Amino acid sequence: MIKAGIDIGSVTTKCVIVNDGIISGKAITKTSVNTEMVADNVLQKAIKEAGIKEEEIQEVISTGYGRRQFKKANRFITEISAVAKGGYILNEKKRCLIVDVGGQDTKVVEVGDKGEVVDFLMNDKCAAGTGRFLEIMADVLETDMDGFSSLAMSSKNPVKINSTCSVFAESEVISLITSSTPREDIAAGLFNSIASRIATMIRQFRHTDRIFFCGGGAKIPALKSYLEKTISQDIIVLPEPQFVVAYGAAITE
Amino acid sequence: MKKGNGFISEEYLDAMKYLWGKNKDISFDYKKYTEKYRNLSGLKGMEFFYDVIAERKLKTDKPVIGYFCNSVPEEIIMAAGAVPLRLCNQDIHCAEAGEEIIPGDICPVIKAICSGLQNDIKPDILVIPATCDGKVKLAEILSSAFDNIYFIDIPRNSDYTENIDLWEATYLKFYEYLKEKFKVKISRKELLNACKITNERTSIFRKIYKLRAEKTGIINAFDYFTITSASFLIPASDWTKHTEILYNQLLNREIKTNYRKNLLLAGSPIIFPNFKLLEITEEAGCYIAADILCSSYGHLFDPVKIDEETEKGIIRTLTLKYIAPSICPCFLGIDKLINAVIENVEKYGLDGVIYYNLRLCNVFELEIPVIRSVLKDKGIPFLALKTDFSREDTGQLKTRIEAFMEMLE
Amino acid sequence: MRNKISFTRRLVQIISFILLVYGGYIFKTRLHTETGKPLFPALEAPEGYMSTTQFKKGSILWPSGTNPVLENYPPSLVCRFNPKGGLFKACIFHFISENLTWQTPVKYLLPHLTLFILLCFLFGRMWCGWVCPIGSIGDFITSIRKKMNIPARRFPDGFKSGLRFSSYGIMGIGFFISGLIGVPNFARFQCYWFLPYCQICPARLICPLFGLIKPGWKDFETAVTSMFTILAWLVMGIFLAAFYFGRRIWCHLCPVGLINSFFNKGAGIELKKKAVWCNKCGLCADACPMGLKEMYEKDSDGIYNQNGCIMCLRCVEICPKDGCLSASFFGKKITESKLK
Repeated sequence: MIKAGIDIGSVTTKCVIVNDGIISGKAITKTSVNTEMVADNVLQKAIKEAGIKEEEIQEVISTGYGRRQFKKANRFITEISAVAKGGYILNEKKRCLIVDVGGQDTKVVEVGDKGEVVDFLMNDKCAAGTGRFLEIMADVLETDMDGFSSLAMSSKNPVKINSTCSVFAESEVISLITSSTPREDIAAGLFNSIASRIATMIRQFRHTDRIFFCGGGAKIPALKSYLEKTISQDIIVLPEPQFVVAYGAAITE
Repeated sequence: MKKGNGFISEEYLDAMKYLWGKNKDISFDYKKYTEKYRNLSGLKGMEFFYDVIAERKLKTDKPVIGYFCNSVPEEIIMAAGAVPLRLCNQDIHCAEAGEEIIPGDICPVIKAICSGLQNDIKPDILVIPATCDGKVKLAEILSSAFDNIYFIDIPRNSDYTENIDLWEATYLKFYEYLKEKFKVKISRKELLNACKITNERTSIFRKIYKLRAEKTGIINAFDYFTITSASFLIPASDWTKHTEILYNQLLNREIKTNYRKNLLLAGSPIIFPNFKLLEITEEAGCYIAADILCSSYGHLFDPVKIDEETEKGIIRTLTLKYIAPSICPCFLGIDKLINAVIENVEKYGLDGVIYYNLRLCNVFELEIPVIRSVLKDKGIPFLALKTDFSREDTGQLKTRIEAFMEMLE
Repeated sequence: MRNKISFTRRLVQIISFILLVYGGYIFKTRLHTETGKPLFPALEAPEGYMSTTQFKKGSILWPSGTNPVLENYPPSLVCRFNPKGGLFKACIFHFISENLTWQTPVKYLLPHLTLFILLCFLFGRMWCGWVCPIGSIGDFITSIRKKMNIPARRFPDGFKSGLRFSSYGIMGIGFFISGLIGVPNFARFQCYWFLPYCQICPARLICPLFGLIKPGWKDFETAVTSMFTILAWLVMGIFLAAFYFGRRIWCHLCPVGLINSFFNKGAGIELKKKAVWCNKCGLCADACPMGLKEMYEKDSDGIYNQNGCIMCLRCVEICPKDGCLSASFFGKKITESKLK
């Protein structure tokens, strides 16, 4: 059975085509104003990679913020259920906590023994604690994401960033730059502040022995290591972290 | 309370007067809004309530006493021959206009009240209880627009054993004030009569509350919260009469429902124009089977049960209706809230709890971790939502509520 | 009916008042005089000991009644000063005091004690709230106060426990004197110190009133009887004031109620609370005529038979939450709280 899962996020749109539970094609592209067109494009790309015809796809399941905009989809599910499904299959069907740092929000989902969502938390409508925050800060420090990450990793003495609001943090960072604080320390401070925000969300859950990390944020090594430091516990990054939600949508029964 | 002219500047007064003068322009087109919800259910008995909301006029020749919150004894006002009018306002346009005179980072309810009242009627006396900090300062701010403001200072510990005498004294003071103000003699008979009227209202409200909880889909959330919002604006006896008509219609109503889950709504109040959350829940197929909000449950659920029919005895019992059982987070005593949540969930077999937290109302937010942990122990699914009157976060709320529904299934 | 329980309670109080106070008039001729002796033989005072019938007319301890029809001892009183009150002879305090003085062997007391304990086991202190004629008179005084629009005076918890403590004192002293004068060496004091508590009990002044006979209201024959008479009037004053201002505050002091209260916990009648349904409005504590607060304060399901509780069930009646409070009899629910 061939199914397609499309995750229309705020920053990127992802598509995974699954053939009997095995990924046969995937594609990713930036989300733009015309959500439907982007989603269609990414679906076609994935179809190409899988080497199948569009008619062969039996079900298209869309998820993410733009899920209702994609008219081709047969079903909609929320990204929370999708990430739980995907994460559960990817970690050998065991109880776990999944942290999904996306572009617009951060979700922490507790998955039960049977793959059900036990509880979940999402951050508020502000950008702090999300991938968007890191992107803005990388811009302020005049570097890209990889550079930002490696800057932070090389710091010995992270500064304390007090603001959690991205707008105020920006001005705080600028004032730190003008007081000639090393860029490494600023970057480290920013990662620390976001990690502590995610950590407070994680602490509200009770079973935190197995934590998995996915979403775009999981691709940033510095975020992972600072988060591990903050909660003093190992975190496992799921394979292909950006596609976990789309995969979860595709394997939904 | 003293009028604030002495220390409030002319400029501020002008701003205030300007706002209050134009309050008709800034508020919603209520008629249009009521039409939207009115057609959804098509219940005949609802017409009256939607008309009340749309017109927002109180037809009375008696003096009108406006008040906020749930801690002002309506019975005393009614016994004094006046009409109580609850003025709590959740109009987004009012809230935005209110930012002209008070800072933006304030609870939207306070901002909305500051910018003028929803009603065309200007009350003769405005009664403001010291429930939250915002209301306390509100009394001062509004004193520049109002001549007669009465401030009820309520102790914040809602434990009967500790504060009952203080409450009694507070209410007695209010009682004496009204007697003096209107130059009336209030006898026991009038107090008892007023209690009878509100008790009748309570008993019909409880019937509707029970019916709604037991029969999924019998009344949709818009209709229900319109009824409760209307109870702010019309005399209790009118409300009772029309609710009874509605109740009899509901009993014979055929239900065809596509609701997926029955939930309990707890947290901040929901008053008419602010139906954003309800729109989302209805769309997601979640039935608000019960609620413990102060705008409906808190306002209408508790009766006055008089032990001693003496004047002081009645007033003492009134405090046991308004303050002691209050689940307002401004009071000390979260156990009451938790009891109410668990009671409703267990009694009516509900699937989960949504806790609606009005942004910038910190007391509500402070309760969330406690409730979350208690309900987790009990195995009751719980979702906390933080939002305000604006519609920009509709998408996020939708995701959360839909995910919550998926989680329950 | 708006107040079902209160109404029933009033009815029971009136009926039992009539039965206890005037029962003798109703039943005596038929049951007592025809057979010539009581249905159940009473305990006779041993030879040479002070008996209830050995006093002169007009003396403080002159029993105003004749021999009772049923010589048994339900936990509440029908007192020796009850004119023609021949249906029951009931006051447990009187019974124990009397027999301490007579030094009656326990085997003779056993049937009476068993009956008393059995009734206590069934109803606990329910007698105070539903049957006790003194309490009924008190409730009548309270209702006059309500009509006069005078609010009830409420007393601090410390005061109430003080009264209970005093009650222990009264019981102890009463039994001690009764026992002491039973010892042959002190037998000469019997004449004036017999039944010391009965001599100051408000029933001594009240009960004869209802039979329209001349009571021992001004017995100033000797120093001891004068003392008792003065004390009795003092207690009477306290009694009236207590019922007028403080609802059932008197019942904290009453030693008969104290003895009954030992059986409250574990009694057949039980007050129950469903803690989760409680909205903590405090009405149960506010309406309690004994001013007990445990029902409000405790947050657990279970049985709430407090020591002071007179089982008037006012809390069950006034609770505004449907089904939160309930009263049951050996696990079978009798009544539960309702809005109306």
